[in-house]
Amino acid sequence: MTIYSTPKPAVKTAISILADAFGVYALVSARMPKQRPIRFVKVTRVGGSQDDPITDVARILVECFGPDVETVESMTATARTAFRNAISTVVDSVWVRNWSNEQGPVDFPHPEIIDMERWQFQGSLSLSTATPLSVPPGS
Amino acid sequence: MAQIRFKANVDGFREIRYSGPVQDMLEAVGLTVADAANSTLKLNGARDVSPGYEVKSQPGRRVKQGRWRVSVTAVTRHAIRHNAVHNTLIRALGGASQ
Repeated sequence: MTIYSTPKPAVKTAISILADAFGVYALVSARMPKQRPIRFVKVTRVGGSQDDPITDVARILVECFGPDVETVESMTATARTAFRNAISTVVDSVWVRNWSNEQGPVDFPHPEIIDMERWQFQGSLSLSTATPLSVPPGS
Repeated sequence: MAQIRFKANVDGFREIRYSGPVQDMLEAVGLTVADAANSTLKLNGARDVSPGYEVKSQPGRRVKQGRWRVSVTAVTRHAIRHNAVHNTLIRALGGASQ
C-alpha cells in the first residue's frame, strides 16, 4: 500500500520565494489589499496534481501589478528568476524540487484596476512532501 | 542479423490527429473546461441567458503537422470581463488537467 504524505503549502512557499526576491520593493500576497500598494504581486494556485507520494505539483499563477509596463515587465522577470533559483533549495522548511512548464508572461490588463498594469505568468512548482533533513546526509 | 527499416507514414499520423476518436477526446476536455468556467459565472437573468464560455471544435490547417483543434473562449461581454477579473479559463484549465 502506498502511503502519501500531506503536501506542503504551495502558495505559502511561492509567496516566500517571491517575498525574498522583492523585499520591500513590492508586496507579495494571495489577496489584493483594500488599499492598493504601488507595486503588488498576487500569487494563487490554479490547479495541480500529486502524481507520486513524494511530490506535490502546484500550478501557480503569478500576477504582477505596477504603475507602468516597464515596471511590471521587470517585476515578472524578477519573479520568474526567483522561481528558477529556488530549485533544489529549502524554503520555509519545504524542499523545492522544480519549477517547470512556465507559460507567459502575458500582458493582461485588469478591467477593474485601470490605474495599474498587470502582467502574469504561470508555472508548475514541484514541492517535496517530505520534511527536509536539518543536517544534510553525509555531513 | 536482419536490419529493421522504419519509414514513418506522415499522412497516417495526420489522419489519426484528425480522426473521430481524437476529436471526441479533445471535445470532452474542452467541454470539461467550459463547464467548469460556466459554473463560476453567475448569469444576469434575461440579459445573459446563453453560456458565457463556449467550445469551438474545428480542423487545424491542412499542413504536415496539422491537427484537430478545440478551444474554449469567452463569448459574451459578461464572460470576457469575468475572465479578465478572475482568470477563469486558466483556473478551469488547471482543474481539467488533473
